[in-house]
Amino acid sequence: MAEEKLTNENAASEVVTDVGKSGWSDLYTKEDYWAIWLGFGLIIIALLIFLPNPPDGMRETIAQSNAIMEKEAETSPFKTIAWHDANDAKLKVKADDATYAKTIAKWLGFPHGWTSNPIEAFLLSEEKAEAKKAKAMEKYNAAKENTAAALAAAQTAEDDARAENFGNESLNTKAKEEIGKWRGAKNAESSAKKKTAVGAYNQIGSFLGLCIILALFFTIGVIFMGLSPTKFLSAFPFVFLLAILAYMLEEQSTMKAYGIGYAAWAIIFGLLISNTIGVPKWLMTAVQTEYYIKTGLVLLGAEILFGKILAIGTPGIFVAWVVTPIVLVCTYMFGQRILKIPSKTLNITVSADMSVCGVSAAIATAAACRAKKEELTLAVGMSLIFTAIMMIVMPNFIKLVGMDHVLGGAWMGGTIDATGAVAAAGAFLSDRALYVAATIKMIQNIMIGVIAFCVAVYWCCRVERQPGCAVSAWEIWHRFPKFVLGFISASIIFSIIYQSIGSDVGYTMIDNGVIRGFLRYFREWFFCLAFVSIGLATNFRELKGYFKGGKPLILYVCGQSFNLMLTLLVAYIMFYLVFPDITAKI
Amino acid sequence: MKTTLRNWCKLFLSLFLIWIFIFVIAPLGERVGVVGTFHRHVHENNIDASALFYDEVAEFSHAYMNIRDSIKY
Repeated sequence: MAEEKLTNENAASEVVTDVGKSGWSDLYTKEDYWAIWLGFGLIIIALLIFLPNPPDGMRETIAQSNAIMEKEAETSPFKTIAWHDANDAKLKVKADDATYAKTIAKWLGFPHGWTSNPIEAFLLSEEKAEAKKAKAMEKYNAAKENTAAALAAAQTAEDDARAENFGNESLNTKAKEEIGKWRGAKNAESSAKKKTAVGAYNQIGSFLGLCIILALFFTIGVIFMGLSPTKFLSAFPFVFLLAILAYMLEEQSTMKAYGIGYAAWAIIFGLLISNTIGVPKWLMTAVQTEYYIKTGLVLLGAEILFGKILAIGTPGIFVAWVVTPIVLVCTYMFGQRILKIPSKTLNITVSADMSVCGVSAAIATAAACRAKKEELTLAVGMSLIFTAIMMIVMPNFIKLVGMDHVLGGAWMGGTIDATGAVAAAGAFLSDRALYVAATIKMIQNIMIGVIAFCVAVYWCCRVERQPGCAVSAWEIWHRFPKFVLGFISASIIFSIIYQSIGSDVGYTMIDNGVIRGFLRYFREWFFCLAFVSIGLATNFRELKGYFKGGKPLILYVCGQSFNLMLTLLVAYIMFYLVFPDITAKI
Repeated sequence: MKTTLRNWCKLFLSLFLIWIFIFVIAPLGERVGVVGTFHRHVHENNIDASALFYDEVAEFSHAYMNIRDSIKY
């Protein structure tokens, strides 16, 4: 079959057709390659901006903090106040705190939080900002007093334990408890302090600028892919406007607490328009789901840092990297053999969404196996509903049964789909639960790269193979979604950089510089544009067809139940029976 | 013309239902004990419960560094 160019027609179709022989021209005519070129272009810009500009005194602060923590760890059986202060000092050194990074954030940032007046998402006057600040100051002052009192109690308890040379177990336990309370109070103070940093803003100009930048950015590829750049440029602002509206609703305080994010709102807005007044033909030129998703996924690759999987040692690897693939494969097989779900792509997308980390895993897996837009929509919708339930039920259940917070944290981190919901559920329990839950979820997030790669290979070698035909290496290459190569390459390059500069500098320059200060903004905007496009190209009636017999729901519920049981069992075995020494240190 | 008008009505009705969900139904859910307590905690601590990936939430990098240092030191 002749090579197919991306046209207006197939842009609106179910999946991107990527068939035929590979040729050199693919390098500049296929969106998979454009996703790589554009993604890497942004990555290079980010590296050039941040790496030459480390914060002043970065290495000195890190060295001093590490020396204090080492000294404290040698003398005390628990983390002392000085240990925590040193850790905090190190965490405060971030590249994205620099003035230039704040300017970038201002131009790339999302709408602000609001409660009842949606205009506050974009505009806030000086008077209103002052009023908000004054209100926040009251809470901050109260939180500061609490912290001071908790610190005094913690210091006394620690001094008592130190006076006995940390040989008195009950005094040590008392000191640990008081230090834990002080940490809780300090976190509350820090959150209250952030709210006092409110100032007047007007984001209309920055959104206009960003819209122009993104439109021109994507137009580069559009020209070579055979689409009309003028049509794309005239349609793009509408898709971008819907993306802004999706972010605006994500920032509404009640929606944020329920964990209903931009992905859901973008799909909902798109769906409403396409299924009521319809999407005009001229607009479809900017409805480029695959183009946006793939470019976003290449950027996501930079955020997948393999060195971090060792963060919590062997127990973390077992909970996140052994249980997760087992659950994924078992759920997929259950869907195929027992439920007999007709669509394999729907089956694997729901399985990955449920077992790995919700929406981000669903996007990567769906793109790797070329799932249909409706299938991704269904997976995202189910994940959203179950996450909203699980993030409230699980921490309350853990509290009710008195489960240890390290075990509870590992359980929640391994099972609650959405990453943000894990942080909310963990923080609801305690700092310990939050640290374990977040670390397990982070290790699971990193697995997306491997999952996407394996799914892409499996689909090329097995699922899309003609029955009875052997698949040659060239055939696999022709079928392989090439953007996955960009995704994996970005991950490998950033993992190597991160390892070579060390975790401490990596935290400052990569985590809180290149990624959080630049790439993340673009990646989130690209995903949001993709979800708007999904909604605009999806038909309600077709969506209903995928849900026939409730099989996706049964798959999700059965898979999640298995996930809950296996994660709890493995977390218990790893953290309490095999590696209790690691648990004791947390 | 009639169909067009009906379609626009459908769109506005759907948007109105979204408004009802955000400002009436969802806040009602917060009146349920555990939901309300949980949401208050999320608001007070400014946690982004809707984040898709770990590096969108500051707590994740803090957790990573704290756990790493706890095991190392």
